[in-house]
Amino acid sequence: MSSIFTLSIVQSALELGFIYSLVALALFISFTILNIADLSTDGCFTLGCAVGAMVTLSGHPVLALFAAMGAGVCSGFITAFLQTKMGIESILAGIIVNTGLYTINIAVMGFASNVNLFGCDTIFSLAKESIGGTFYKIIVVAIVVILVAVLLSWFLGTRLGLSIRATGNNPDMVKASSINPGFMITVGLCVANSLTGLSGALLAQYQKSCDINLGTGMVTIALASLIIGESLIGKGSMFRRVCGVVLGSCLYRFIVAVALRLNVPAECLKLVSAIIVAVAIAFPYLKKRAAFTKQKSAAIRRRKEG
Amino acid sequence: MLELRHISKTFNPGTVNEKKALIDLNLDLKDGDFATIVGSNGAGKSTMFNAITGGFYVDEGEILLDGEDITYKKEHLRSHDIGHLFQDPLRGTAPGMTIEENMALAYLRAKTVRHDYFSRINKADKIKFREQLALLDMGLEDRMKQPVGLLSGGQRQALTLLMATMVTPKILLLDEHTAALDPATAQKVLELTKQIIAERHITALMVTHNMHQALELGNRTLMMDAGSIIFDVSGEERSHLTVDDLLEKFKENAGKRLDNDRILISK
Repeated sequence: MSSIFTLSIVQSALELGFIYSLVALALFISFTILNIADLSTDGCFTLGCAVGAMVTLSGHPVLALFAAMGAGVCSGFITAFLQTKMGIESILAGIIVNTGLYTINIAVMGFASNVNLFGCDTIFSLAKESIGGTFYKIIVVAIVVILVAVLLSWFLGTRLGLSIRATGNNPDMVKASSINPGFMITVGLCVANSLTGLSGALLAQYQKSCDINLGTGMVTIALASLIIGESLIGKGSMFRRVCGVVLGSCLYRFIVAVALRLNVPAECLKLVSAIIVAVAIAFPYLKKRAAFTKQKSAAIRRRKEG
Repeated sequence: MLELRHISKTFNPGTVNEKKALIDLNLDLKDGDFATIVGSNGAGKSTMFNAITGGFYVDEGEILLDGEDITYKKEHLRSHDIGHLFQDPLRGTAPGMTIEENMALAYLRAKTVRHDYFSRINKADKIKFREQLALLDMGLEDRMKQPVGLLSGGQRQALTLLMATMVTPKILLLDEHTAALDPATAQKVLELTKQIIAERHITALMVTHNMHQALELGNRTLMMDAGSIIFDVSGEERSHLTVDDLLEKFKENAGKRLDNDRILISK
């Protein structure tokens, strides 16, 4: 088994885990907190990636991250606008935006299906020059993720953050306490999608390329990370839960890395993640069922004996 | 403080389900008034509350709160000044958030100006929350970090009351807020309600199905039937009324017997 966990595998799993954890945090806001399944995540991730790649290409790797976040905010705003002002079901709003984003993403990349960033400066190449060593990539993504995690948990304790949480938790209460639920959903989705966009931009610079199909299945992968994280950490303070989501994302990458080491072909990874998500979500329910079945059969046995 | 002038509301107009919920309803509630409301099932008690809080807009008439015309003010803008407790104790608090977070939300939304989005509670606020929780005498002050979902219905309703009055509202609407609680807890929440209303001189409306309560609590009793207030008594006349008088008055004014099954049982 020791051959499975070589240093380079641990390292790349952590790097990718941190980058993708931002999408998981986005779903933490939209899915866990707001109770909305935001299906525009796939398209938004690619949007962040495309915008990030194009701005990086023009020589501004740091600005690229903020531009991608801005693009994510726009995408989130449209999704929220459709559901709060146009009366479209939240799931449908996400699907509509996701479909529309495909064209937008192609357009952003100059009507090409992929963009290469070889030879231009990225935040990683800048870090390599200033930090050096072998861990510079981890350091960069860790700083970004820690910053986001701290800011996010701070934000969720502010009046706005608390109002967003209450909106997803008890809509009845929100209406009776001078909170505008439509506004809260809008802010929540904007924040969530800005993180998705940031994640896309980081990935573009990390792998020095952007592809139009990059985001496919991102919702499922992020959901897997989110659920792994939540089942590991459970309830607790906001910071604890946010950290749990990041941990879940890293763990998911380990699972994928192990699967790859065990010679699972790369094409099967989406199936693997789908199975992980299904199992992770079904597990608590099945556990309860199993406990009940055990209790029932024990009771029947006792009766037969007695 | 609160004035309802000729308000009317018809639900599903022009259909077979048409329901005239409020018909030319008038009410003038003075500052510091604490009025109880009784009425048969479907008399429009909760509908009147929803008209005040902005759950829907009335078809006709005006609603004035503290001199301000709020008839077409949006629900979330109105509720800044209105405390509203429901019969269902689960409606007033967010179960997934801790006691402290729930209180913080109630405190910040009422205390800070509307666009101060990033305000947070500080240590002094937490100490204040603790003191207020201790007054409930339910041991909640030691459970501030626990999610509200773990509390019992009575504890949640007491907490909701605390949250609704944390910053004194212009008017407090109590919609049978003790009806779903066990007798002992209901009594406790009721005592608390009386205490808070008296101490802070809050103008309040309280729906009840308990005729004794209707006469004992507050300074005014309203009786509703078929979308209107049919009997309004306060002062000297009220202090001499008995429950039987009240039932008799209802029969007189509504032309029928009070058909609220819960009233008959609790009589």
